[in-house]
Amino acid sequence: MKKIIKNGKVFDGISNKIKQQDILIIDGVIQNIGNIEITGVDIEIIDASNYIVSPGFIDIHSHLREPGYEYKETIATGTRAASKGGFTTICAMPTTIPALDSKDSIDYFKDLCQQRSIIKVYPIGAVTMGREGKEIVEMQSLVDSGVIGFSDDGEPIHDPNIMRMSLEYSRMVSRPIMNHCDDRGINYRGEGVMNDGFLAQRLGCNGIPNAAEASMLSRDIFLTELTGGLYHACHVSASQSVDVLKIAKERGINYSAEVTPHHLTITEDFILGPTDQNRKQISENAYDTFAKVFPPLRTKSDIQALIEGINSDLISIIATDHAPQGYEDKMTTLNQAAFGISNFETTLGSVLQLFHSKDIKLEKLLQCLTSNPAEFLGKKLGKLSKGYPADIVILDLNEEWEVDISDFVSLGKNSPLQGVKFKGKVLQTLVDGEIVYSDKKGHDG
Amino acid sequence: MAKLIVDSNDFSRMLKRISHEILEKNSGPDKLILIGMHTRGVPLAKRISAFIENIEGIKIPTAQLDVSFYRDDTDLKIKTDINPTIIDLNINNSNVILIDDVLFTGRSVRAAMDALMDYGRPSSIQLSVLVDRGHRELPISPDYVGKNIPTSRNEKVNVLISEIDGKDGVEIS
Amino acid sequence: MILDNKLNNLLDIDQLTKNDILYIFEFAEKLSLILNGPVKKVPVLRGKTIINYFSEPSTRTRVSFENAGKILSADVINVSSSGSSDEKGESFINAVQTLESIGADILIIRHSDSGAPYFVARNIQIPVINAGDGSHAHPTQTLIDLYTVYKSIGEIEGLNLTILGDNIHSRVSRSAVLGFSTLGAKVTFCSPTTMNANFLSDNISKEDIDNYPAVIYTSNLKDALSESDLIMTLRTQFERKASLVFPNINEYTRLFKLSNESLKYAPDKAKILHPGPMNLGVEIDGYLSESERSLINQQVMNSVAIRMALLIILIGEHTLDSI
Repeated sequence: MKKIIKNGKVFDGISNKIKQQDILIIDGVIQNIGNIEITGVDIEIIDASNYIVSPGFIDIHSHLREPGYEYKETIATGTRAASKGGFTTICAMPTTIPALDSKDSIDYFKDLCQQRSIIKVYPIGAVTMGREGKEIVEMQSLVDSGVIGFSDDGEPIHDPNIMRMSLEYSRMVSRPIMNHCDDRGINYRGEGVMNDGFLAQRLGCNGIPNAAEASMLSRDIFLTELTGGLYHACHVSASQSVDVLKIAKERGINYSAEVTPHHLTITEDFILGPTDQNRKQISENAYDTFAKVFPPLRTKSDIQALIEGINSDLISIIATDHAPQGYEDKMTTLNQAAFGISNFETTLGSVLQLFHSKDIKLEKLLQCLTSNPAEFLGKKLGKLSKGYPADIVILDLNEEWEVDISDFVSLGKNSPLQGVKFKGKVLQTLVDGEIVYSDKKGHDG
Repeated sequence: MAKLIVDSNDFSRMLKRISHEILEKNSGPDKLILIGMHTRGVPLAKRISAFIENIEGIKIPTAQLDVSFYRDDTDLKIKTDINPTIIDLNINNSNVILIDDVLFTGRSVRAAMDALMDYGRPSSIQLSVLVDRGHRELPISPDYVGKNIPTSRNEKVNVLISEIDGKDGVEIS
Repeated sequence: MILDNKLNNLLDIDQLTKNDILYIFEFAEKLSLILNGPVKKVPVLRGKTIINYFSEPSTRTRVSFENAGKILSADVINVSSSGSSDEKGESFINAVQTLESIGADILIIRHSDSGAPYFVARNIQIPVINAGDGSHAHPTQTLIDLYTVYKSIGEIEGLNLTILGDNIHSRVSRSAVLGFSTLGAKVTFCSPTTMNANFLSDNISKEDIDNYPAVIYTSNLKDALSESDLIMTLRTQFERKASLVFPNINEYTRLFKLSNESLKYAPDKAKILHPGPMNLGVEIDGYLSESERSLINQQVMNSVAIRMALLIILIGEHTLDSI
């Protein structure tokens, strides 16, 4: 099966430049990139003139919810939503029932993905049995089953000794420990529901201070220095955390870190509602549970620090933390609502805002979505080069559109971005050369 | 441009006549209570009580009634429309004379009767008004009338009472 | 005089302008005539159904609303619940929407989660009155406190209000800051540093300084009281939240309790308020609540008239003071 993507502005994930090139795909693998003459009749042509052609996006942090919480999302709906967002590979956190903490549960999960997923999915194993923070899993066994890393995500690794031991062990199994940093003594009993500060006190809500994240991250970084283990910081959100990463870099401590599209673009003001975010006079739309997420949405100065973190390579990965929730999970008071934002389908729109505002270069954004996560995974992905699988996304940087949650393919309709106007969208997504998603309006394919 | 229909002398004569009529119809002052409807019915009730005291030598008790919360029309001006109801006596088995300045649609009087029923069970309720301007919307008719003044709907009839307005009279505008 | 804002719900006092608040005072004053009249009942809300949905226990607020509704001839139904999913698995929003479908004309909600009345208000059509949500707001209490002060002292503009006690957990304190500031008073918080809502007072950021009234904070009781016209003592509960933010009840009462001795720091004319119920001997000594400096009894007496005014404004058929 021969395909050629013609005349696209190609970002190949290797050089930092975007160049007009053609891509030849044979049997799902990239054969050639450059100026390619079309010979023979048995070749499918995809015209990518004026569009960006990039390696398919790779998300190292998402929640597929199946098995166990199929009312929130299934592997089928989640991967379809991801493909609409331009993702060709995603990694699923072990927040499932059963937790992905044993060979059996992981084999079962992989079987389900084999049958139901339309893109590539890798499992992330839990660090501790049941994610309870007490007993470390059989890490080598899980690696043999295919996990790309370990996380108790949703829960922090509270016990410093467990963190130290798992970091020690990570060297042996060559997979990173991915921590959801939240000191539950500082975020007291985990009762915080939003960023600590003026707005939390104004609304009478328990706050999650920046210190709760930064202090645990700090602990983890020095434990990483102590042990030489493989460490990854999940969903960094606080400016202080970026400073901790700066110290880590200066000391030559090896780590990786990710940031979500929402933490890069929206603030705690979204708790006041999607529009009319008046901090002086609280409107009826306040206490919007769609803006309840962990870590919480914070302030402009945190966003500024995170952007600088990306530009100075302290944070190298953008990961969605796609967290679909059911209707009842969010249709309640702010205190009782589940955390999480469903964002596969809005990620590109969000991060392109930073490109259009000239805060981050396009090449850097694309790297954070492709070659950098591929390097984290240690897999032959995330690049457009001869011999690599044809996992490709075609993007229009300029098409304007408005977010309408009722159009979401994901079962998770929990997004604070209803009505937001974005500029730039995914036109087509290919996995191993096959089109898994195509935007209906106005594109040949 | 307001036109004076009744001057202060005729005003006084009307009140005296009404006072006599009340006494005549009820065969004397026994068991009579005069209840003035806010706002201008209240001083009117006091005046009638004073006239009756002059005639019969007996002081008829008076009370005041606010009907703002019993009315079925919807406008309420909190500054002017709500007034204290002061009924310091037992109205059971008495002959209540409800006193108001102008009788128009009859809705205020209907509200007043409902209010009175919450305070007790009078033997009878009779209605005394200074002016009947017609345009009844309910089956209410007065027992004592100062003057019948046919009007069109959009005219305004104002009763002036010196305790409130500085002079006595009736105006149409 | 008419309301500046059309009120669909009363969620917090920041919805009301100074004019709106004065209007409510005037209305409550007039409604007191009914309370002082020969028959404490008028049919103005006859046929209306008021549902008190209280998922936190309360006697005074609930009974006060119930009384207000009944004097106005409304049918009042009390529902108490845990406020989350009940034993039968019915969710909070289902329970509330069921009450609307059953025929409630208004819901009066008290809930332990901040923002619960906002959530309800945007998911039902009928009006909502916030009778206290979590640590966030208690607008009717503030209206009662303002009215009490207005009736006893008069002009609130320029008065110094000192709020003593656990400000972090207090919804009464939060609404009081907004309400008293709208009428021109100046507010001082006095509490241990651990009980201070610091992002709203001494640590307020540059960006938010225009978003909130200017509140002075001090942990020194003498300084806090030295120029007070009004002293509001908050309920400080050591069995529940206060012990988390303050180590020891003895030190608290020694430094912050309002007693005959500490009251001497305040001018003679200073009056005392307490939203109730009182922890006698903790934040305030019992005999002070009965003294002539105390407005506490008036607060209770005024609560019904204010709540009657709010009910009529929200669900009465009358068009109030239309031009």
